[in-house]
Amino acid sequence: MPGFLKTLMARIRGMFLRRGEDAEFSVEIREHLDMLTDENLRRGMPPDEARREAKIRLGGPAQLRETHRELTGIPFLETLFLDIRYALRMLRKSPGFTAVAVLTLALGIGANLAIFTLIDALYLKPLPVAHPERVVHIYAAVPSRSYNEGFSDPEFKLLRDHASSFEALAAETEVAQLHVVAEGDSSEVRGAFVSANYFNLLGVAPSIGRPFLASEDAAPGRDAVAIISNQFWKMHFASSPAAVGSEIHVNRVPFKIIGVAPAGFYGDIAGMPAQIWIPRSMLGSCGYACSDGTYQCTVYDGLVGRLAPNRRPSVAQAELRSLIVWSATDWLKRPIQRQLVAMSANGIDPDHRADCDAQMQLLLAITASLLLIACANLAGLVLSRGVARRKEIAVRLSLGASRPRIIRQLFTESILLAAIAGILGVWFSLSARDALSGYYATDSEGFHHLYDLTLDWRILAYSAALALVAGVFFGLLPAIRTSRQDLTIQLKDGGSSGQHAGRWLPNGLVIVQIALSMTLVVSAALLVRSGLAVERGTNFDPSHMALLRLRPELIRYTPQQVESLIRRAMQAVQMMPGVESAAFMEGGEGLVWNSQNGHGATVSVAGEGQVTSDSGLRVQDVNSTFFATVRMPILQGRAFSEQDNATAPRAAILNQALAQGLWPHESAVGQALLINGKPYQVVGVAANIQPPSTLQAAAPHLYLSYWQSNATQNGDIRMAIRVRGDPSRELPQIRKVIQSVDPLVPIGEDMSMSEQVGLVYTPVLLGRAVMAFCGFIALILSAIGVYSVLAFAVRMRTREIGIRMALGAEPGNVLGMVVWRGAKLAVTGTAIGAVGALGAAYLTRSLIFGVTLDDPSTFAIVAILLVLVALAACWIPARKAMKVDPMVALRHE
Amino acid sequence: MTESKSEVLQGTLDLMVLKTLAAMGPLHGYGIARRIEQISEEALQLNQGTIYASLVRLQQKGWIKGEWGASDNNRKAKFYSLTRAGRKQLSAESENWKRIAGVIGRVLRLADRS
Repeated sequence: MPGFLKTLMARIRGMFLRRGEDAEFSVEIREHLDMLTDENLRRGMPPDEARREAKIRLGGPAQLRETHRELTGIPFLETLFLDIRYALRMLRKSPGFTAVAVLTLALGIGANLAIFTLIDALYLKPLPVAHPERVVHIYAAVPSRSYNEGFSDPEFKLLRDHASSFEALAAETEVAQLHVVAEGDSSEVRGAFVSANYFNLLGVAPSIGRPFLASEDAAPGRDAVAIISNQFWKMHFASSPAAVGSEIHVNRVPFKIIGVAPAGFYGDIAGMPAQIWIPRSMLGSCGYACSDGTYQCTVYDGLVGRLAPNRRPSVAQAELRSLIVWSATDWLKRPIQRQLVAMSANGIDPDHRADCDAQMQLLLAITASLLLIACANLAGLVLSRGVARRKEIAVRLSLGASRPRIIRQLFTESILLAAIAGILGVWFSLSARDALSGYYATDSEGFHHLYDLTLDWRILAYSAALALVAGVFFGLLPAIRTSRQDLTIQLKDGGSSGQHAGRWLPNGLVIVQIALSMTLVVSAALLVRSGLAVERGTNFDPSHMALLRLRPELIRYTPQQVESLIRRAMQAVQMMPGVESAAFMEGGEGLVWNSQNGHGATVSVAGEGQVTSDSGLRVQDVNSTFFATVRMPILQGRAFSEQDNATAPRAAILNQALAQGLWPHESAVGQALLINGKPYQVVGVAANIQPPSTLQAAAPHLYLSYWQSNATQNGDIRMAIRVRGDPSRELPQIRKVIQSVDPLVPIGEDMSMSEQVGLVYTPVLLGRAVMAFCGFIALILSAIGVYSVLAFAVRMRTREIGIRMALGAEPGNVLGMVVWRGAKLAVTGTAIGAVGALGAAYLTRSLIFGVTLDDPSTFAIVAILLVLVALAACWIPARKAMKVDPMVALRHE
Repeated sequence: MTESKSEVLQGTLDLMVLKTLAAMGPLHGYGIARRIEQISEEALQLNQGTIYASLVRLQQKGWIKGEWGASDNNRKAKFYSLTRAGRKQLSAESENWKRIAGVIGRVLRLADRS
């Protein structure tokens, strides 16, 4: 529409040339008036009459100018600029109010943004690849259990060759810890075995060197080539181009580096950055062959696909499902129904999603409550300010400003406040981000995660949206309320009698704040107590314990070498002066207090049913000092001893959950059972370990004597060492001692038991941190809220108080009046909040350890605290009220 | 203010201003107003100020342009003249107007007869 555009352009130009145009138009009108006057004079009118008649025929100059201005500019924008300028002036005039308002809101927005930054990193950030929207992950999922059931090589080839929904399909196997020796340094890094087309499919070209050749994944064990990450390159090769072509050892196999991935590329799973990529044909050579030792059964964790243009993941998934129909038994003859799932590759791996979802919902709920409190607080502040400004507004109304115009002006001020707070909030969130990401840096299995938490447009857009919503929320209602007033009353008595202002809105806002604060602070208190309970440990003592993992498997030790290593390492460590006792256990998947530790097994009792790994049963091989070292109570029978060796009858210790499951009505000790078909005798019952969620029952667990069980004797072992001092201080010493015994063995995952407990219970500890922070802020905000509403009420009622005192009221009565009002608000809010806190406790019950959801002492203490804080906030306004001088107050008019 | 009525009136006034400028050449606001009053044989008593709204609209559409100059008795005045686009617009609008006027006339005659 060129005509419309032309007009618009002219108007925009008009807006900026405003002054000049206005002056010109005034001249034009004046000349016109003069010409009309001349005409009238020529007709013989007297000069006065001529001028008057001319004015009538032309119309009033002021109106003409106004119409002209409206036609030549963009009235909406011009008013907006005016409003913003006026708003800035008003905000500058009351710096105290502005500072409190901006800070309050910025805290609320900042907390929400920090959580959103996590959500962005965990779910939304696109992969650092070409056209990430067309990249999908394909999993063989067992919906009830996990996504990563894996694919066999023939399955991968079938899908690759027949699925038309994809331009390309690549296979990959992630390995959390590869033992890599580069330039003499050894380290454990995450790596991936990938099909040769992996880099081409993702559209990622190595920054130096070359990608894999198509033939390089064809023959098992032939092509020992590797591409390293930019980070690995920096760390081990100081970014030297000579890295390409040099040799590194992966699990003791020599590899040639052929390329370096570009900076920022971390692989295809958010949070799990790989440092090295190796062709899938090298899986067997690096020690990851299947038990039958053939390439045929090699498993890939998942496939990565690039969708054909305009193909939706759901369509691709349907095609994949039509290609492979798994029957009741899969390729390992396990009775499992797998299902193919194709999903967008953005975000964390789907096995961790359910946990993260719950976590993020909780964190969002907490920070949203904080923002709500901040908004209620601000609405109260803005409202009191509005009433204080009633005279100003009444003057403007009486001068002809329309109500919508006044509402718009007041609203602009609120939105402006919100915008400033939004910017400050981004800054706050940046400082909170590192604290939060610490909770996600390592998972409970000890694997390091790295998320991209950089600021992006999504975070900025979210911040803008939050600021806008908050601005509407706290600005609109007060603006409408403030603009609705009776002019004559306002102008006559200066708006000093607050009686007709209506108290329900400010009171309601304070009650909302106190109620939400009560909810947050009680939840925080419950989580703090849970955190303490978790850190104290249930049925074991995590204090003063150091942990580490020896990985002889990575360097292919024989069982004899492993046994010698263990005996020598144990002996050396136990001799150390700072060590109280030491234990070791099998240490495959996961850490000590993880439900996944140990290995699976089938347990049966003669004539009774079976318990299999599917019920969560895990078996763990431990040595004789294990129970004493970790201080796990043996409830019945005995712990293992040195006599439970290879020649003695096989002994088993059950945890309470398993013992009760197998023998609900009699003692387990002395009973016989078959473990993987071999006969064992129960010698003891140990206490259960608390699972990371209170909603989970303790899983059945079985302990076997390490020297009797042959399950993993060439595998990794973990050592648990009780020390006298600080475990993180002792760890380097312990490492040194073990290295003096065996300089070759890789040592990983050394940390204190408290650290590890923290990792397992991340949801509790993260929830506690965020909740405690938000609860604390909420407490301060409600104090400000109570203070501002009461201070305002006192100011509005100065005359009334003056009259009361003139009529003989004691200062004590006045004090009581103010404090009574504050107390009523505080008690009402606290009572409502207590109900909310019960609800919140129920919703977070999976995280509440060692304390009941309605713990009376917690509720009572927090309620008293809140009421005390509210009463303290009454103090200043109450003192002010007491000091009202009746004479001054009455003469005030 | 009812939108449709004012639009018709605006359109009418705009057309008259265009036609006046086409017939008379460059004129200032007063001149245009006077001319319209004379042509209508004083039947149309303008509130002369409304001319200026029309002039702004026509300028914004690029149909006329204004330049400062001196009037007959040496006053400073802004003279408006048609642009090429304005000339084209005028002929299109005139056609349109005649057609509508014809239609309305016929309708009114029809109404008279019945």
